[in-house]
Amino acid sequence: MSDEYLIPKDVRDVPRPFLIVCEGMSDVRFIGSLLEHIGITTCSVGCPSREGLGNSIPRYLQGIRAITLGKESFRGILIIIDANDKPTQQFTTIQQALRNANFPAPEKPFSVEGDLFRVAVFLIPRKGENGTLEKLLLEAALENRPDMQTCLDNFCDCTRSVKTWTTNQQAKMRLSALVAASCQDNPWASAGIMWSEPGNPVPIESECFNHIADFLKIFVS
Amino acid sequence: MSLAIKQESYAALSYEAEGYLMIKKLRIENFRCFKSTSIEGFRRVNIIVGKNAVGKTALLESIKLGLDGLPGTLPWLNQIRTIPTVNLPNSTQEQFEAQFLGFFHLLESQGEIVISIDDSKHRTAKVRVHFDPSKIATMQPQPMGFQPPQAVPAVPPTTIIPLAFDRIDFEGKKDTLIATVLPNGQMFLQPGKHLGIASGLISITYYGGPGENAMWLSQMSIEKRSDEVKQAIRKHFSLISDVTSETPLPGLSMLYADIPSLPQKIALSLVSAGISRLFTMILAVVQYKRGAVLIDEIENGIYFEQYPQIWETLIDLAKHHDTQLFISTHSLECLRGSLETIKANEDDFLILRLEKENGLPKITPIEGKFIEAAIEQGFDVR
Repeated sequence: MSDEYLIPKDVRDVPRPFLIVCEGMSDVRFIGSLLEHIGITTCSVGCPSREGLGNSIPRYLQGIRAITLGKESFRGILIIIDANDKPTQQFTTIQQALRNANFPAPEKPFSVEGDLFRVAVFLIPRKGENGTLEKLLLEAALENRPDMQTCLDNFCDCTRSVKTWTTNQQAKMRLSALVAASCQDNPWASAGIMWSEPGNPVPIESECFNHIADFLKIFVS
Repeated sequence: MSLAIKQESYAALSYEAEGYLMIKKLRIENFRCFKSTSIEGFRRVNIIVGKNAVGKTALLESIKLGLDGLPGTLPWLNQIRTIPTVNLPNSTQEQFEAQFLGFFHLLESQGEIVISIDDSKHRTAKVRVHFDPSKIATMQPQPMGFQPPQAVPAVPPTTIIPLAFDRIDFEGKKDTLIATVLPNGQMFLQPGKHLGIASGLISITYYGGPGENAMWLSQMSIEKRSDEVKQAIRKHFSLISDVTSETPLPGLSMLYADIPSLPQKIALSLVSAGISRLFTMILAVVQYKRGAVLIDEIENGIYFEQYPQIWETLIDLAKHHDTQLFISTHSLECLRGSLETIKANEDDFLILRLEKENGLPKITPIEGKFIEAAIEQGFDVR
């Protein structure tokens, strides 16, 4: 994946008409790869800076507000975050963050709202399901290599402790192990950089991402 | 004949405001690049950003004119833009108007400049500037301008159509002052008081004449309130142990710096033009208490490491003295240097971002909390 979707540092404006805000670089790279795959070129993708104290989506949205005020070329924001175990709370937090940044806020998640300026919130993995991006990426990887499921289960058993972890923690660990074992040139590869690594075990063309791709198409249409 | 405007006297007329009157709203018509613009919601510190030639300096000038409403303001604004005021004996109408043409939008001197300002008590001051043929007959040569009363010059009445300043001050009082040129080439600038809020403008080229700064410091010293400005400059520049107003020659007052390693004091401007400019800013914020200080390109001549402390010093003094600040900057470093001060004073800050849209300036106000977030995220809000 190229970084052409990524909002650069020191930016004075959102470079493209729509902005997709994610929680971190792993999400940014995934969404960027997906946009590239499905041929959407009207979106920039960004996430809060990890430097300093402003590393939260609410602060990021306020910063975006500062640089986009009065700029009619900026036409919408889609926020993509993990549902985790509390999707309702996640949504209301983002809803409030949008309002605090003087952006319109959608009434419900998975809904593209607004006419002149669009807003939407998408909770990963999908509607009605708890979890994180890693859960979704793991699904796609295992769909591609179903035989790895048993291997990962066995590995978890061997570690003894992992089985007591939460589902989200286990998904992250399993994905990391799978990525490490797949990227020979860079076994340190993470979900954030695996998209440009040879051996990346997560196929961006996986049907597991179709629902997100469809939502992105609706958002920019 | 060229007109040397006596800024000392001009300044002396300008800081008599009583009671804190913050500017809340500004309307500009036909002034410089502004055709018709309205800005409201000003805060204590208003930072003006934007590319070159979008109207940042013109915005500061409009505030200065709107607060003064004085004929003397326009030639002075020309002067600090390094445009000399030159009038020849028996000047023609065209030659006279040419001195002021640049103030009119699209250089159309047949129009009228209107600037009105609302204060925090919802009162409005307004000045309308236009060439007014009806004022020719009323024009009588008198000792005016900023000169002390003198004998009336023996010159015949002028036939020049004067530039009229129809004024309404914040108390609602109306009057008209004029600018014209006498047949002998002397500029006639009718003096008056400002419209109710005192203001000082520090430009790139003008940051107080030596005498003006020295006079301010002397006045503060007499009133036993010079310590805070001296402390402020010592905080920024530890090499300076004291700044004083001295008179090395009769009629020449200047600021001098005491640097312990030197055998005698030296002129502050010899230490550093940047330090001298910063000292002027500090003096001005104190001097124009309960008024407004307008600073063009604050970063000029100042090392970047000083920026955070400068913001802190200026806001502290501005809060202490109820001074409102309008500050332009090109510098992202300077803007980022304001982060900690904005965090501590979020509601006191407003950024006005100027851009050109269809050839006209577009002004976007950005509140303190959004500026803070943008700086934190590494965005460029200029």
